[in-house]
Amino acid sequence: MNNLKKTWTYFKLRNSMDSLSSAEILHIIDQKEQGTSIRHRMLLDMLVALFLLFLTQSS
Amino acid sequence: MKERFVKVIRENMGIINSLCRAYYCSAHDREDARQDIILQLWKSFPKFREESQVSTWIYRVSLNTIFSDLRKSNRRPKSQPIEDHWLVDHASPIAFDDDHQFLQHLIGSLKPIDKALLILHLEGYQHNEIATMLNIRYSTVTTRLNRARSGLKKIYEHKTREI
Repeated sequence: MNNLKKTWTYFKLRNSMDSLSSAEILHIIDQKEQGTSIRHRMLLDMLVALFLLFLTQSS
Repeated sequence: MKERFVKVIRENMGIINSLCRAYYCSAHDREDARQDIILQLWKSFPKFREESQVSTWIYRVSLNTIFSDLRKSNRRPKSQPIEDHWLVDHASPIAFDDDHQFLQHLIGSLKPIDKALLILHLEGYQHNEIATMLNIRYSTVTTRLNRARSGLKKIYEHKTREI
C-alpha cells in the first residue's frame, strides 16, 4: 500500500501538468453558468410547447 | 472571490485531473467532467469556510459530481467488485512492470465506489473521514479496505517470490 501511495502522489503530480490558465477557468465558470440557464430555458420552452400541443389535440 | 477561486483550482488541478482520468476513458468525457467539477466547485465555493482542508473539499465535491454524472449517463466504465479483483489477481496474477502500471490497471477496473475508497485511502484519509466524505457507513469502508489491503499483500508476496 505504501508503494501505491507514492505512485498515487506521482500520478497526481503528472496530471497537474495539464493545467488550465486563469482565463480558461473563468471562461468555464461564465460559459457553463450561461449554458445551464439556456438548458433550463429550452426545457421550459419544450414543456410549454408540449402543453400547447396537448390543449390543441384535446379540443 | 473569483481570483481566489482560480488560484485554488490551479493549485489543485492535479486532484481534479487525476479523478477525471480515473473515472473516464475518453478525453472528451474527461474534459466535460473537468468543466462540471469546476462549475460545482465554484457553486459551493461561497459555502466553503475552510474548516476542512481545501483538498478535502475538492475531493468531496469532485467525487459527488462524478457519481452524479455516472448515475445519469451510460458512461459507467467496465468494473468489478474490489474483492473479485483481488481474487482474480491472486489466482492468476497479471505481470506489471512497475507500480504505476499496476495502479492504472487497478483504478481502471474497479467499481466507482471502490475506486474512490482506494484513492482516498492512498491520499491518507482515515476511515471515518472517508465514510463522511462518501456518505457511506464506516463498516463498509473498513471491510472493503481490509479486503483491498490483504489482496494487495498477496499480490506483492507473489511478485517477491517471482523475483
